Amino acid sequence: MHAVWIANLFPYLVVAWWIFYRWRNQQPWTFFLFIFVLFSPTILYLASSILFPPESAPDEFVDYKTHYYSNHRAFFIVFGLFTPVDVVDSLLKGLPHFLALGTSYFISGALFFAGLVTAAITRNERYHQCYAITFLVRTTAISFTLFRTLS
Amino acid sequence: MRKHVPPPLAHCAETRRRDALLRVLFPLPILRQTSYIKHVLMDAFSYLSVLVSIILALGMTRVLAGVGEML
Repeated sequence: MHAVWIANLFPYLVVAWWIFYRWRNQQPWTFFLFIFVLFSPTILYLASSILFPPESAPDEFVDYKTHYYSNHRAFFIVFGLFTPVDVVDSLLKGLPHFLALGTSYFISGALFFAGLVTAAITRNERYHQCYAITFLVRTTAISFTLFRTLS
Repeated sequence: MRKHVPPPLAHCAETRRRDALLRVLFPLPILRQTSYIKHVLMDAFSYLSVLVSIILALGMTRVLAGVGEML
């Protein structure tokens, strides 16, 4: 499961870089906007540092399952912050852009947020397994359908 | 069609003086051009994207280093 979340997080980092290109026509750049666009990379960085234990000695055994469940709340809360930041990010690109994203964006975002909040609350192993796989399928599908070309 | 207007003599003399000075200061020929981009201003997006890419790359490094430790 820990491995699946690694597979989930890595494409997110790549996609965040990919879609940052959408800001290329922004004029003028304000300091507030600059700080704001740094939020989502920072969230993803924090999530990735929570996901892994601090660098240990080479011969020290690390139980990734125990680490995952002892840090799942912090991980999913931090990762869950990505959704409201993404909504504000889309709004800042302009209302026409925000509305052009369509209902699928809102439904997907709401499900994403609800799923992460639930994952932060529950320790149910079955839920975490199912959600990690669902998330992976969703991330892969979105990455290859919505972000096919750099635009 | 616009007629070719030769540069003023003062400008030519200045260019010659500058070239002569460069030859004195840097007598050896430049063997390899180090940059092909000259006088191109960096736009705001490119400038700001540097920090964004650094933070994202730190995250990627963390994930990849973690995978490396797992293996």
